[in-house]
Amino acid sequence: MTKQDSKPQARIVQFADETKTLPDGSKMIYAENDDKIVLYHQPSFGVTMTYSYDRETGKIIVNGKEGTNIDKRTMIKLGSYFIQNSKEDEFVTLNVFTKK
Amino acid sequence: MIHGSANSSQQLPQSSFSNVNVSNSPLVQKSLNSSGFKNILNCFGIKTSDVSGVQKDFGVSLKMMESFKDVQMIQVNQSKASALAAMGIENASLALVMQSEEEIKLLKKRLKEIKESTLDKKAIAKLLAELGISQNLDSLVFTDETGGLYIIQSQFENL
Repeated sequence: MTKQDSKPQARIVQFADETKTLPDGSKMIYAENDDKIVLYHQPSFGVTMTYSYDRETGKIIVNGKEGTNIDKRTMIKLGSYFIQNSKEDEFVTLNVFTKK
Repeated sequence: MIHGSANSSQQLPQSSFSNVNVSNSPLVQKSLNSSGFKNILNCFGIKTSDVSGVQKDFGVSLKMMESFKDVQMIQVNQSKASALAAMGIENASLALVMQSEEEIKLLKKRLKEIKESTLDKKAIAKLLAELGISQNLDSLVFTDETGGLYIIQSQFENL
């Protein structure tokens, strides 16, 4: 089976220009597969956060620990901000394949 | 070794993208070595060493990123679904959008007030009048005993 036929383990979306930031100075990376939605948020100041939402269970993991509905709200807000302040052609999508 | 292939994406609209081989892509090499990228792969249970290839597409369909709408605050569990069905309310006809547990508590408190005020017909009549609801009070208020959730069936949109 070729890569063209197989499905990526994850699809990761980020700015093609790695130096580009959002208007507030932060950087974000969006990723997803059939099971999870992940958002990586690196603010210009403060703690970097990684939000991982499990589509099936509805649970959210924030920096490796189980999060709350407030974290889900934050994730949605950040994601909306990311989309609203970006254009499709600014992104690059990395489809990740694994050995298995 | 990182390698890729110049193929087309089945997930994303062709018009927005051009695919490239990423064998020598500095962006991919740098990304794979970054802590952020490793964190993300870790969330998917992928070790950097297990990555066999990365295919790069320029652009993205922002529709794909609309997956954020899947991030739900509340899931309708079986008992609530059964209760709604017993009351003749289809799941699709009722949607509660909650932003936080605080808002859920607030709603429960408010609905509890409504239920308690049903003991006083005048009070509930005044309350519902203020909410713009003018139907027969007895037909408006239902109780989901399984979840402690009180639902005003009709005119809910007016709330």
